[in-house]
Amino acid sequence: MLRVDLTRQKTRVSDLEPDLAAGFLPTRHYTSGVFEHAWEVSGERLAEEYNVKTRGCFACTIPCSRFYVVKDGKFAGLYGEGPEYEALGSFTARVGNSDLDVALKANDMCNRLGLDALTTAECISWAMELHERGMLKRSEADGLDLSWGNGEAILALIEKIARREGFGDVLADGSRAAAEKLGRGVELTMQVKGLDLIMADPRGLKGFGLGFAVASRGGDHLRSEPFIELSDDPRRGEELFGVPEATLRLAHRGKGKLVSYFEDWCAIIDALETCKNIMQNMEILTFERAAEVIEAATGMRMPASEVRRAGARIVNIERMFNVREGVRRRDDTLPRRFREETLPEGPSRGTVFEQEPMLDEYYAERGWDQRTGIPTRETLESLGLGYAADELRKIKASERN
Amino acid sequence: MKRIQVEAERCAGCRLCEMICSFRHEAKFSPALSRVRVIKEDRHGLDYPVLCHQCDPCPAVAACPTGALTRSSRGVIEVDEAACTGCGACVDACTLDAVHLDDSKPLICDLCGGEPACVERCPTRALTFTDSEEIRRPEEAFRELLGRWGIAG
Repeated sequence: MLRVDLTRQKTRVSDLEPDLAAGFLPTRHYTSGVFEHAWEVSGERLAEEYNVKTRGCFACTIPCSRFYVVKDGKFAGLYGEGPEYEALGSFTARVGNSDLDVALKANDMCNRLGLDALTTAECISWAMELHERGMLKRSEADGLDLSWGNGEAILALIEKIARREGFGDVLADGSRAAAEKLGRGVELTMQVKGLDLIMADPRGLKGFGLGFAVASRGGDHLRSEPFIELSDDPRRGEELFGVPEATLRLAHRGKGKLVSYFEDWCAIIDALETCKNIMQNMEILTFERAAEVIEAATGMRMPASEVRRAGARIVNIERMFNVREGVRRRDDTLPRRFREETLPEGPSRGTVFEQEPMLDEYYAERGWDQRTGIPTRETLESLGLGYAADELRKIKASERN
Repeated sequence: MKRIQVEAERCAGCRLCEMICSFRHEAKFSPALSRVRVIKEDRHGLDYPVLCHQCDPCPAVAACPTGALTRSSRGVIEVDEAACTGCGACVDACTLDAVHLDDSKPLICDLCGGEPACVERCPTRALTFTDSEEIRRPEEAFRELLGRWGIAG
């Protein structure tokens, strides 16, 4: 979600503001979708006051990366690349921090220490919620004050996580593992299949939420990323899926079709090794265009429907890999908070993530078994994945034993 | 004379200039065939497209043992491929590192006959085609930028 303004020679991360306006900006560990300090830590402010230069990937006409300099204050002289939306949002709204300089420092530390900013921030944010609820003693957190937005504690924990020191060692394997080590708080970890969720509250963006639930890597937006949902335009849903609600962010009907379509599309974008930000989010490389690109590069003539089927094959083979490793419908689940509690304020308040009807619709669309979430033999054979279907027999046999 | 000038602060290091240069001259998209080469200093995120400045006098022309390199009446360095033996003396002589060999043929910017494709296609307008005598080196441009931003190089 990048807007590029080349006339001003500044690329902006301009997500915090719209996400705030839609009320799904995960704030204080998803206890709210509205962060009252969003402007102070926004990409707009970063662009105006900190950014010095853009950078781009090879041969890209939309160089979306940015370099910033912190000019004064405690971190004066700090210079680095990014942060992109997830890192910026994670070290601000997610942990309740209103100090942009602290977020830049945190992101820079993660980059240098080789830590994923999102997962690191989720672990810290989870610990902060435990602290807030009185579920974590100060002594257990190496004496750190884990109040929301405490910059010193945030930076100290990043260092401790990287070095596996003290409480950092508890957090160093992600939030789910941390809850297991600590023996509590697993219901408060914001992850799916062990992968921590991004900076979008699924109660305000339901197609994204369904994508997190079923993604082959766990709580991962990059497997489907149905950006069209942000349009909130029912005409698009009607046109693409025959279901107007499919492109309304707060509705749950039609999301099975939406997510399958975008998963197939993302699989093709990945298989062609192109940029998802441009090719999918900006709707540039459609299945039709992909067919043209494939023909130009390889000489193979593939109709657009065949390109989409190739995407579906990728999704199904990844699913079968996971099925062999034990993944079932019960694992395609978002954290309880999203399913049972509503957001207290803002434009996404008062609604929960309607997981079960969405999963039913998704499995039906995919041709997967409703009860188990396993692709049926017919589905696999129709995609030319007969060999994966043969694997099913072994799985069934082992489940009987 | 009009020369291609670089504004380092605007260069995003995307190397689209290399792709379009190669395509314009060789009908292939291959940075190895480009007359312009972007230096990327990743530690500080600095980028600088290096290309022939059409210096006068030109040390590469002076170093060529066969007379294959000449300066045209419009001041542009030209390569006579038939006369070139591919010895690489021009590559060594150019003080800007702006000459490269493709197998045995020197690749030198010819300003695309007066309408440089790299200037036209640069997405951040880091390249301009203007009257200027100034010769700048990437390391000078980088030092200046880091100074302006208050960063120790």
